[in-house]
Amino acid sequence: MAKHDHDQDNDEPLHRGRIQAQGGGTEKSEAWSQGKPPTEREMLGKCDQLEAKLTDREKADRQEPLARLRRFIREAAKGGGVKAPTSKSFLKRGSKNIRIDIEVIKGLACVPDSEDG
Amino acid sequence: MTNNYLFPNFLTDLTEYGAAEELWRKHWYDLLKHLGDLTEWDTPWLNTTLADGTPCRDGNPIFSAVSLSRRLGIRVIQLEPSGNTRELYFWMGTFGQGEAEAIEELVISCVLTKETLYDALDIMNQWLNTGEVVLSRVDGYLTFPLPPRHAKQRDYALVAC
Repeated sequence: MAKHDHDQDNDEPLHRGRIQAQGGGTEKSEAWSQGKPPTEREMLGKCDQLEAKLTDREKADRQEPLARLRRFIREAAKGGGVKAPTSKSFLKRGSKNIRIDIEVIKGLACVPDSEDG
Repeated sequence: MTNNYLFPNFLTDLTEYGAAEELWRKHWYDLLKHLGDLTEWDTPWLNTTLADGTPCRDGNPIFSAVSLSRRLGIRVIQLEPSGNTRELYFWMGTFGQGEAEAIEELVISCVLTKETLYDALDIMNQWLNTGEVVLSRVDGYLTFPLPPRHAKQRDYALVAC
Protein backbone atom coordinates (compact mmCIF):
# COMPACT_ATOMS: atom_id res chain seq x y z
CA MET A 1 0.00 0.00 0.00
CA ALA A 2 1.31 3.45 -0.92
CA LYS A 3 2.31 5.60 2.02
CA HIS A 4 1.13 9.19 1.60
CA ASP A 5 4.15 10.63 3.36
CA HIS A 6 6.60 8.78 1.12
CA ASP A 7 7.73 9.29 -2.45
CA GLN A 8 5.82 6.78 -4.60
CA ASP A 9 8.81 6.29 -6.91
CA ASN A 10 11.40 5.28 -4.34
CA ASP A 11 9.57 5.05 -0.99
CA GLU A 12 11.77 7.83 0.45
CA PRO A 13 10.19 10.29 2.90
CA LEU A 14 8.62 13.21 1.01
CA HIS A 15 10.40 16.03 2.77
CA ARG A 16 14.18 16.05 2.67
CA GLY A 17 16.96 18.54 3.04
CA ARG A 18 19.85 19.69 5.17
CA ILE A 19 21.62 22.62 6.70
CA GLN A 20 25.38 22.66 6.63
CA ALA A 21 28.34 24.50 8.05
CA GLN A 22 30.89 24.76 5.27
CA GLY A 23 34.19 26.36 4.36
CA GLY A 24 37.51 26.87 6.13
CA GLY A 25 37.94 23.10 6.44
CA THR A 26 34.58 22.59 8.16
CA GLU A 27 31.88 20.31 6.80
CA LYS A 28 29.17 19.53 9.33
CA SER A 29 25.50 19.12 8.67
CA GLU A 30 22.05 18.39 10.05
CA ALA A 31 19.68 16.64 7.68
CA TRP A 32 15.99 15.87 7.73
CA SER A 33 14.09 13.14 5.93
CA GLN A 34 10.54 12.81 7.12
CA GLY A 35 6.94 12.36 6.11
CA LYS A 36 5.76 15.78 7.30
CA PRO A 37 7.44 19.07 6.42
CA PRO A 38 9.73 20.32 9.20
CA THR A 39 8.20 23.29 10.97
CA GLU A 40 9.79 26.58 11.91
CA ARG A 41 10.46 25.26 15.40
CA GLU A 42 11.99 22.04 14.09
CA MET A 43 14.19 23.97 11.68
CA LEU A 44 15.37 26.33 14.39
CA GLY A 45 16.11 23.19 16.42
CA LYS A 46 18.20 21.90 13.51
CA CYS A 47 20.15 25.17 13.63
CA ASP A 48 20.78 24.65 17.34
CA GLN A 49 21.88 21.05 16.72
CA LEU A 50 24.23 22.12 13.97
CA GLU A 51 25.63 24.89 16.12
CA ALA A 52 26.22 22.39 18.93
CA LYS A 53 28.40 20.32 16.59
CA LEU A 54 30.74 23.25 15.92
CA THR A 55 33.89 24.08 17.82
CA ASP A 56 34.04 27.45 19.55
CA ARG A 57 36.05 28.86 16.67
CA GLU A 58 33.73 27.45 14.02
CA LYS A 59 30.78 28.79 15.97
CA ALA A 60 32.28 32.26 16.31
CA ASP A 61 33.06 32.36 12.59
CA ARG A 62 29.51 31.42 11.71
CA GLN A 63 27.62 33.50 14.24
CA GLU A 64 26.39 35.99 11.66
CA PRO A 65 25.61 33.41 8.90
CA LEU A 66 23.67 31.34 11.47
CA ALA A 67 21.74 34.42 12.59
CA ARG A 68 20.81 35.10 8.97
CA LEU A 69 19.70 31.50 8.45
CA ARG A 70 17.51 31.68 11.56
CA ARG A 71 16.03 34.97 10.30
CA PHE A 72 15.33 33.33 6.94
CA ILE A 73 13.59 30.38 8.60
CA ARG A 74 11.34 32.74 10.59
CA GLU A 75 10.52 34.81 7.50
CA ALA A 76 9.88 31.69 5.42
CA ALA A 77 7.43 30.36 8.01
CA LYS A 78 5.43 33.59 7.72
CA GLY A 79 5.02 32.80 4.01
CA GLY A 80 3.97 29.18 4.56
CA GLY A 81 7.48 27.72 4.23
CA VAL A 82 9.71 27.05 1.25
CA LYS A 83 9.38 24.48 -1.50
CA ALA A 84 12.08 22.36 -3.12
CA PRO A 85 14.30 23.02 -4.86
CA THR A 86 15.56 25.77 -2.59
CA SER A 87 19.21 26.43 -1.87
CA LYS A 88 20.64 29.39 -0.01
CA SER A 89 24.11 30.17 1.31
CA PHE A 90 24.87 32.63 4.07
CA LEU A 91 28.49 33.64 3.74
CA LYS A 92 30.83 35.31 6.18
CA ARG A 93 32.03 38.04 3.86
CA GLY A 94 35.77 38.47 3.56
CA SER A 95 36.39 34.91 4.71
CA LYS A 96 37.56 31.88 2.80
CA ASN A 97 34.06 30.63 2.02
CA ILE A 98 32.98 30.27 5.64
CA ARG A 99 29.26 29.86 5.38
CA ILE A 100 26.04 28.15 6.36
CA ASP A 101 23.91 26.53 3.64
CA ILE A 102 20.33 25.36 3.57
CA GLU A 103 19.04 22.94 0.94
CA VAL A 104 15.42 21.92 0.61
CA ILE A 105 15.86 18.94 -1.68
CA LYS A 106 12.35 17.49 -1.71
CA GLY A 107 9.00 18.71 -0.49
CA LEU A 108 8.60 21.61 1.92
CA ALA A 109 10.40 23.01 4.93
CA CYS A 110 10.10 25.85 7.45
CA VAL A 111 6.31 25.59 7.55
CA PRO A 112 4.54 27.42 10.38
CA ASP A 113 4.14 25.58 13.67
CA SER A 114 0.61 24.46 14.30
CA GLU A 115 -1.24 26.55 16.87
CA ASP A 116 -1.65 23.63 19.24
CA GLY A 117 2.15 23.23 19.18
CA MET B 1 33.51 53.77 -5.53
CA THR B 2 29.75 53.48 -5.10
CA ASN B 3 29.41 54.58 -8.72
CA ASN B 4 31.08 51.37 -9.91
CA TYR B 5 28.27 49.21 -8.56
CA LEU B 6 25.48 48.20 -10.88
CA PHE B 7 22.04 48.45 -9.26
CA PRO B 8 23.49 49.17 -5.79
CA ASN B 9 20.03 49.55 -4.25
CA PHE B 10 18.73 46.23 -5.56
CA LEU B 11 17.69 45.06 -2.09
CA THR B 12 15.41 48.04 -1.50
CA ASP B 13 14.37 49.09 -5.01
CA LEU B 14 12.11 46.68 -6.92
CA THR B 15 13.03 48.18 -10.30
CA GLU B 16 16.74 47.74 -9.62
CA TYR B 17 16.14 44.18 -8.44
CA GLY B 18 14.32 43.31 -11.67
CA ALA B 19 17.03 44.98 -13.74
CA ALA B 20 19.77 43.04 -11.94
CA GLU B 21 17.93 39.75 -12.51
CA GLU B 22 17.51 40.62 -16.18
CA LEU B 23 21.20 41.51 -16.51
CA TRP B 24 22.31 38.13 -15.16
CA ARG B 25 19.78 36.34 -17.40
CA LYS B 26 20.84 38.26 -20.52
CA HIS B 27 24.54 37.57 -20.03
CA TRP B 28 23.83 33.93 -19.25
CA TYR B 29 21.92 33.54 -22.54
CA ASP B 30 24.72 35.34 -24.39
CA LEU B 31 27.19 32.86 -22.89
CA LEU B 32 25.03 29.88 -23.88
CA LYS B 33 24.66 31.29 -27.37
CA HIS B 34 28.44 31.55 -27.56
CA LEU B 35 28.71 27.92 -26.44
CA GLY B 36 25.94 26.78 -28.81
CA ASP B 37 24.22 25.22 -25.82
CA LEU B 38 20.82 26.94 -25.75
CA THR B 39 18.55 23.94 -25.29
CA GLU B 40 20.36 22.18 -22.44
CA TRP B 41 19.58 24.63 -19.68
CA ASP B 42 16.52 25.76 -17.76
CA THR B 43 16.33 28.93 -15.75
CA PRO B 44 15.39 29.58 -13.05
CA TRP B 45 16.32 26.32 -11.36
CA LEU B 46 15.78 27.20 -7.71
CA ASN B 47 12.73 28.64 -6.00
CA THR B 48 12.98 32.26 -5.03
CA THR B 49 9.51 32.57 -3.56
CA LEU B 50 7.96 31.36 -0.35
CA ALA B 51 5.25 28.70 -0.45
CA ASP B 52 2.51 31.36 -0.52
CA GLY B 53 4.11 33.00 -3.56
CA THR B 54 5.81 35.88 -1.73
CA PRO B 55 9.05 36.70 -3.60
CA CYS B 56 12.22 36.61 -1.49
CA ARG B 57 14.14 39.30 -3.45
CA ASP B 58 17.23 38.91 -1.27
CA GLY B 59 19.61 38.15 -4.11
CA ASN B 60 20.20 34.68 -2.66
CA PRO B 61 20.11 33.50 -5.38
CA ILE B 62 19.50 36.21 -7.95
CA PHE B 63 20.05 33.76 -10.80
CA SER B 64 20.05 30.00 -11.16
CA ALA B 65 20.08 27.54 -14.04
CA VAL B 66 20.12 23.77 -14.35
CA SER B 67 20.90 21.20 -16.99
CA LEU B 68 18.98 18.09 -15.98
CA SER B 69 20.61 16.01 -18.70
CA ARG B 70 24.13 16.95 -17.53
CA ARG B 71 23.13 17.08 -13.83
CA LEU B 72 24.77 20.50 -13.53
CA GLY B 73 23.53 23.66 -11.87
CA ILE B 74 24.63 27.26 -11.50
CA ARG B 75 23.65 29.59 -8.68
CA VAL B 76 24.56 33.26 -8.40
CA ILE B 77 24.19 35.17 -5.15
CA GLN B 78 24.35 38.94 -5.47
CA LEU B 79 25.79 40.66 -2.41
CA GLU B 80 25.05 44.14 -1.14
CA PRO B 81 27.79 46.69 -1.99
CA SER B 82 30.47 46.65 0.69
CA GLY B 83 33.28 48.93 -0.47
CA ASN B 84 35.26 46.19 -2.25
CA THR B 85 34.14 46.40 -5.86
CA ARG B 86 36.01 43.19 -6.76
CA GLU B 87 34.41 41.10 -4.03
CA LEU B 88 33.65 37.69 -5.47
CA TYR B 89 33.65 34.18 -4.04
CA PHE B 90 32.93 30.93 -5.75
CA TRP B 91 32.80 27.27 -4.90
CA MET B 92 31.57 23.98 -6.29
CA GLY B 93 29.29 21.64 -4.45
CA THR B 94 26.50 19.13 -4.76
CA PHE B 95 22.84 19.93 -4.35
CA GLY B 96 21.10 16.90 -2.89
CA GLN B 97 24.26 14.94 -2.10
CA GLY B 98 23.45 11.26 -1.78
CA GLU B 99 20.21 11.60 -3.74
CA ALA B 100 19.65 9.85 -7.07
CA GLU B 101 18.94 13.23 -8.65
CA ALA B 102 21.89 15.13 -7.18
CA ILE B 103 23.12 18.16 -9.12
CA GLU B 104 26.76 19.28 -9.25
CA GLU B 105 26.65 23.03 -8.85
CA LEU B 106 28.84 26.05 -9.30
CA VAL B 107 28.03 28.84 -6.86
CA ILE B 108 29.19 32.40 -7.37
CA SER B 109 28.62 34.99 -4.68
CA CYS B 110 29.58 38.57 -5.55
CA VAL B 111 28.81 42.23 -5.52
CA LEU B 112 27.68 43.42 -8.94
CA THR B 113 30.07 45.62 -10.91
CA LYS B 114 31.11 45.39 -14.54
CA GLU B 115 34.28 43.60 -13.41
CA THR B 116 32.63 41.01 -11.18
CA LEU B 117 30.01 40.37 -13.86
CA TYR B 118 32.77 39.58 -16.35
CA ASP B 119 34.67 37.54 -13.78
CA ALA B 120 31.51 35.56 -13.02
CA LEU B 121 30.89 34.91 -16.71
CA ASP B 122 34.49 33.83 -17.13
CA ILE B 123 34.11 31.40 -14.22
CA MET B 124 30.86 30.03 -15.65
CA ASN B 125 32.42 29.68 -19.08
CA GLN B 126 35.42 27.76 -17.74
CA TRP B 127 33.28 25.53 -15.57
CA LEU B 128 30.85 24.70 -18.38
CA ASN B 129 33.73 23.82 -20.69
CA THR B 130 36.08 21.95 -18.40
CA GLY B 131 34.38 21.43 -15.04
CA GLU B 132 37.26 23.41 -13.49
CA VAL B 133 38.04 27.06 -12.85
CA VAL B 134 41.51 28.57 -12.98
CA LEU B 135 41.95 32.27 -12.23
CA SER B 136 44.93 34.54 -12.17
CA ARG B 137 45.11 35.54 -8.55
CA VAL B 138 47.11 37.82 -6.36
CA ASP B 139 45.58 37.85 -2.89
CA GLY B 140 44.31 34.31 -2.58
CA TYR B 141 41.92 32.14 -4.46
CA LEU B 142 38.54 33.43 -3.49
CA THR B 143 38.68 37.20 -3.42
CA PHE B 144 40.93 38.56 -6.08
CA PRO B 145 41.56 42.29 -6.17
CA LEU B 146 43.63 42.29 -9.34
CA PRO B 147 45.78 45.24 -10.30
CA PRO B 148 44.30 47.33 -13.15
CA ARG B 149 46.68 45.81 -15.72
CA HIS B 150 45.30 42.33 -15.02
CA ALA B 151 41.76 43.58 -14.87
CA LYS B 152 42.13 45.01 -18.35
CA GLN B 153 43.46 41.72 -19.67
CA ARG B 154 40.52 39.92 -18.16
CA ASP B 155 38.16 42.42 -19.77
CA TYR B 156 39.67 41.82 -23.18
CA ALA B 157 39.62 38.07 -22.74
CA LEU B 158 35.97 38.18 -21.86
CA VAL B 159 35.05 40.44 -24.74
CA ALA B 160 36.69 37.85 -26.97
CA CYS B 161 34.55 35.09 -25.53
